[in-house]
Amino acid sequence: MGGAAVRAVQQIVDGLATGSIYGALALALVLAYRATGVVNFAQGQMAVVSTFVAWSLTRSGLGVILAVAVAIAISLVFGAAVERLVIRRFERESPLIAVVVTVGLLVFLNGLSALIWGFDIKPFPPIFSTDTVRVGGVAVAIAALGSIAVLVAVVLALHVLMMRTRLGLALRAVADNPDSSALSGLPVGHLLMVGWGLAAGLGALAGCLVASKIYLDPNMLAGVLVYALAAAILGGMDSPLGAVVAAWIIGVTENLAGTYIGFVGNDLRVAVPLSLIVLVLLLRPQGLFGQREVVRV
Amino acid sequence: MNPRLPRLGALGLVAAVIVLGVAPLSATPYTNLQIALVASYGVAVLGLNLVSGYAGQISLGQSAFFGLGGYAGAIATARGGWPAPLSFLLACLLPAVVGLLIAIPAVRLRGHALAILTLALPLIGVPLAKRYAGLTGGSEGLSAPMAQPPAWSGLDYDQWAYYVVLSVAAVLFLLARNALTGRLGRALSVIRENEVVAASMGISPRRYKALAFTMAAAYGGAGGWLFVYAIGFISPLELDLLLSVSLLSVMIVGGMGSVLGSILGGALYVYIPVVAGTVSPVRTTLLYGAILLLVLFFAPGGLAKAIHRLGHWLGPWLDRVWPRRNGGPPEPGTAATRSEGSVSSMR
Amino acid sequence: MLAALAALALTLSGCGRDQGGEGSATTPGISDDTVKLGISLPLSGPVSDAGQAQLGGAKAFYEAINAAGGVRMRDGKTRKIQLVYYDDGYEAARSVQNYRRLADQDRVLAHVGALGTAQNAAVMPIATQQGMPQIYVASGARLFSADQQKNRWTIGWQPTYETEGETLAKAVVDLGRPVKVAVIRQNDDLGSAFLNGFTKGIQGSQVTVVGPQTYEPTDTTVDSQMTNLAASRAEVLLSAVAVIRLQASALTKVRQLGWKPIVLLPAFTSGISTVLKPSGADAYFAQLYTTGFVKSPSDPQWSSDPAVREFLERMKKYSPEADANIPNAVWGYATAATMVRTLETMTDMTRQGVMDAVRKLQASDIPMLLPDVTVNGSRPGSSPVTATRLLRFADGRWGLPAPS
Repeated sequence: MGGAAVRAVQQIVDGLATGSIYGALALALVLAYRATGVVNFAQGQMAVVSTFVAWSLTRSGLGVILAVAVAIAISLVFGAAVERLVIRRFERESPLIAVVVTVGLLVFLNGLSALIWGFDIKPFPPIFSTDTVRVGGVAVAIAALGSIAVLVAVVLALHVLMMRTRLGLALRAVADNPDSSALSGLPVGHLLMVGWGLAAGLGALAGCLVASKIYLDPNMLAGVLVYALAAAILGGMDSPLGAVVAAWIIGVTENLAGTYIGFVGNDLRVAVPLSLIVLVLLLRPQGLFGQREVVRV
Repeated sequence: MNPRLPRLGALGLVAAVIVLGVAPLSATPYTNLQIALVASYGVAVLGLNLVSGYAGQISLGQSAFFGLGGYAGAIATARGGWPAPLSFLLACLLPAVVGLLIAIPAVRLRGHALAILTLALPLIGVPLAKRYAGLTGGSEGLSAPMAQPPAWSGLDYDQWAYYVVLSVAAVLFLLARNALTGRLGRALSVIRENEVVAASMGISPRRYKALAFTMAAAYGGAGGWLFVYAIGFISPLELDLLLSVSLLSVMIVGGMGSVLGSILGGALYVYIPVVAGTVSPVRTTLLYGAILLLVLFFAPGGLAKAIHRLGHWLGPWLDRVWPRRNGGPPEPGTAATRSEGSVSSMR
Repeated sequence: MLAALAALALTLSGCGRDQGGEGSATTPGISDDTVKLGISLPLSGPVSDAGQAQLGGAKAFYEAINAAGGVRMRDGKTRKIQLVYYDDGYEAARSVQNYRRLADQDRVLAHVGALGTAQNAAVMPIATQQGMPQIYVASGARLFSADQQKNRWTIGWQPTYETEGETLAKAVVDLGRPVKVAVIRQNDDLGSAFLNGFTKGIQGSQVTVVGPQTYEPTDTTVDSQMTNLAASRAEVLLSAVAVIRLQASALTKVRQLGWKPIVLLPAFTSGISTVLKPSGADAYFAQLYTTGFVKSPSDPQWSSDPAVREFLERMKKYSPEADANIPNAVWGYATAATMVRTLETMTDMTRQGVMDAVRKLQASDIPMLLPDVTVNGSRPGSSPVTATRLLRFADGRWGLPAPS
C-alpha cells in the first residue's frame, strides 16, 4: 500500500481501537439506562473502582484473568447495591435529580479511590499479548483486536440475554413498564438491581480492558465518560449494538477529521463527531438504533 | 399561614440589606471576594434555573455562556478600555445571541439529544478560547482588573468590586423574580409538565423554550462578567464542562425552580470546597461528594424547599412561643391560613 | 431569603480587615517560635498526583527540619515551620481565594512552591496588590520571574520551558547535518514555550521541524498524532508530552508503528519507572535524551547518593501517601529546602524581608539538585534555578552524554 493510504488506514484502525474504549463504557451506560431510565454519570468511576480492585488482586498474586473475573463478580454485587441503596429513591421522582445524585456518587467515588489507592498512575498487567501485527504496513495491536473481539462478544451475549431468555424478557418488561410488571408478579426491585449489577460488571470489564493501555489512576475514565455518553446517545440510549457502533464511528471520524481537515486540527477534533451527532439527532431524535419515543398526554 | 411571617420576612430582608451593605467595610478582602463570587455564580445558576428548573430543559452549556460573558468583559474593558456598563451589555447580549442560535435546534430536541447539543458548547468553546490566544490570552488566561474604585469613594478594589457585583446581581434577581411570578413562570411550568397540553392551551412551547434559553444564556454571560469583575482573571478553564455540571448540581441541591435556590446554589459552589478543605485539604473530593449525596438524601427537593418547610413549621411554633393579641392561632380552613404574602410566593 | 445570605455575611465578616496594607503592628507569619508558610495546590482533580507529590515533598522537608529543632534564623531564634495548605482543584478562581485566605485569615509569611501556571498567573496581580510573597512557583513559565519591577512579590523557581527546549536542541544540532524533527507538544503555553525554546536552539543549523502535532492533557490517547508523525519518517522525535500516562502511551505507539527515531523527552515525563519501563522505551530506542536539573530518585546511579537516600527516607516517614517518583515530589522538597535557606538568611522578619532574602540568595548545596546546579536569586528577569543539563539514557540510567 502507498504511504498515504497506509496512514489513512492506520488512522481508521486506531480510531476503531480508541472507539472500543468509548464503546465498552457506553455499553455499561446503556444497560444502566435501560434498567432504570437513569443516566449514570458515575458509571466510569464505578468501573475505575472495580479496576483498582482487580489491580490489588493482581498485586497479591492472582493472575490477571482471574483477578478481572473476580473484580467483575464483585462489581455485579456493587452495582446492585448502588441501585438499591443510592439510586432507588430518585428513579421515579425526576431524571434530573437522579442524574445529579450520580454526579455526587462520581465525585465521592473519585475521592474514595484516591484515598484507598492513591493518585499516582499504576501500570495494569495486560490481558492480551502486547505484540503488534503488521498488515500491509498498518500496525495493529493484538490488544486492540482482543478488546474489539470481547466487545462484539459482549454485544452478542447481551442480545441473546435480552431477546432469548426469560430474565431478559423480565428486564425489558420492567424497563418498559414497571407498574404493569409489578402487577404481573415480577420482582421489580430485584430486576432493577440485576440491571445495574450487569452494568457495573460491564464497566469493570471495560476498565480492565483499557487500563493496560491508558494506565490506572482515579481519573482514568474522566475524559472517556463524555465520549461514552455521546456514543450511547448517538446509538439511541437503549441499544447496546448502537452504542458500540456509534463509539467506533466517533473514534474514526475524530481521527480522520483531526488528520485531514486543516481547520479542525488536533484541538477541535471532538467538534466533528459532536456536530455529526447533533445533525443525526435533529433528523432522527431516537438515535441511530433507538426506538421512537411516544409521549402520551 | 401565620400573617406575622411575611412581616418577619420583610424585617429580615431589611436587616440583610443593611448587613450586606456595611459588612465589606470591615471584612477582609477574602470574605468580600467570596461573597461577590457567590453573587456571580448565583446569577449563573439563576439563568440555568430558568431553562432547566422552570422550563425543564436540560442544559449542560451554561459554563460556555458564563465564559463568553467573562471574556467579553475582560477583553472589552480590561484590554479594550470600554466603560464597564458597555462591556456588561456586551457580556449579556453576546451570549444571548448565541443562546438564541442554539435554541433553534434545541427546541426541537428533548432529553439526551438536548443534553448532547448543550454539552457541545463548552467542549467546543474551550479549544476555541485556547486557539485564539491573541485575543483571549490562551491557556495561561487573561489578567483583567476591571474594577476601578473611584477616588471619591475611598474604597479598596475588593470593596468596590463587592458593591458593584452585589448591586448588579440584586437587580438581575429582582428582574428574574418579576418575570417568573408572572405569565412567563406560569407558561414555563405548564410546558415543563406537558408540552402537548401547553400547546393545546395556546402556549407555544417552542417560543417559550427559546425565550428561556436566550434568557438563561444572557444571565450566564452576566454571571461571567460579574465573576471577572470580582476576581480580575479569566482562563479557558472557566468555560469548562466541569463548571456546567457543577452549576447543574448546585442548582438542584440549592433548589430547582427557585430564586432563593439559585442564591443557595451559588453559595454552595463557593463554600463546599472551603468547608471540605477545612476538614481535610487533602480529601476535598471525597467530602464534596459526601456533602452532595447527604443533602440530596435528606433534602431532595433542594435546600430552598427545606427552608420553606421550615417556614411552615415556624408559624405555629411562633404562635405558641409568642401568642398574638387577638387570641390564639387561627383554625385551619379560615382565611388567615390561605397562602399569600411575600414569603411563600418568593420562590 | 436574603436573610440567609446576610446571616452568612455576618458570621464571616467581623473585624479582620488590615487597614493600610503591610503596616500592621503584628508581623504576619512570624512569632517567637513559629514561621507560618502557605500553599495552594491541586490536591484533587486532573493533576492531583502532581499536587499531592508536590505537597508531600514540601512536607517531608519541613517536618524533617522541625524534628531537628527548627530553622535557625538571623535574629538568634530557632523557629518551627508550620505549613498551611489548601486544595484549589487546579481552578484559578479557587487559587485566588486560597491565596487571599492565606494572606488575610491565616496570615502566613509567604506563599511558597505553588503549582499551576494559569492558577498562579491569576494570583500574581493580587500578590502585587496585597504585598504577600508568592515565591518559588513550581512552574516553568517565564512570566513569574520575567518582570521583577512590575511583579515585585512574585518569583518562579525552576528552569523555564524555553530553557528545556533549547537544551534539548543541542542533542540534534550536535549531529551536524540536515535533520528532520517530528514534534508533538501540549496545546497551551507550556507546549508553545517548549517549542519556542527548541526552535531558538536550532536557529542557524540545518535542523528542520516537522508537524507539529498538538494534544490536550485530557486526551485519552495520542495514537492519531503519533501515526501522523511517524508518516514523516523523521530521524528525530521531540515528544514534548507533559502528561506521564500519555507519554508512556505515545512511546508505546511509536514502538508499535515500527518507527525508531532519536527521542527527545521533557524532564517531567522521562521517569524510568513511570514512563520508560512501562512503554518498553528503555529497550527499544537506541538514543534517548532528556534534560534534568534534579536527581531522579528512581535512577540507579543515585541509589547510594546520601541526599537521595535521605529524601526517600523522609518521604516515607512524613509523606507516605505521596509518590516519591513523580518529579513534583523532588521539586516540592527542593523548593522547601530553598525556602528554609531563605529563612536562614533573612535579616528583616517581615514579608518584605523575605523578598529581600530571595533576591540575595545564592546557594550551591540545595539537596536533590544535580551537581553544579545552583540557586541564584539575584539575576533580574530570571528564575533562581536556570541550569539544566542534557542527559542521555545508557545502561539503564540517565547520564551526561559522552562528547561526540
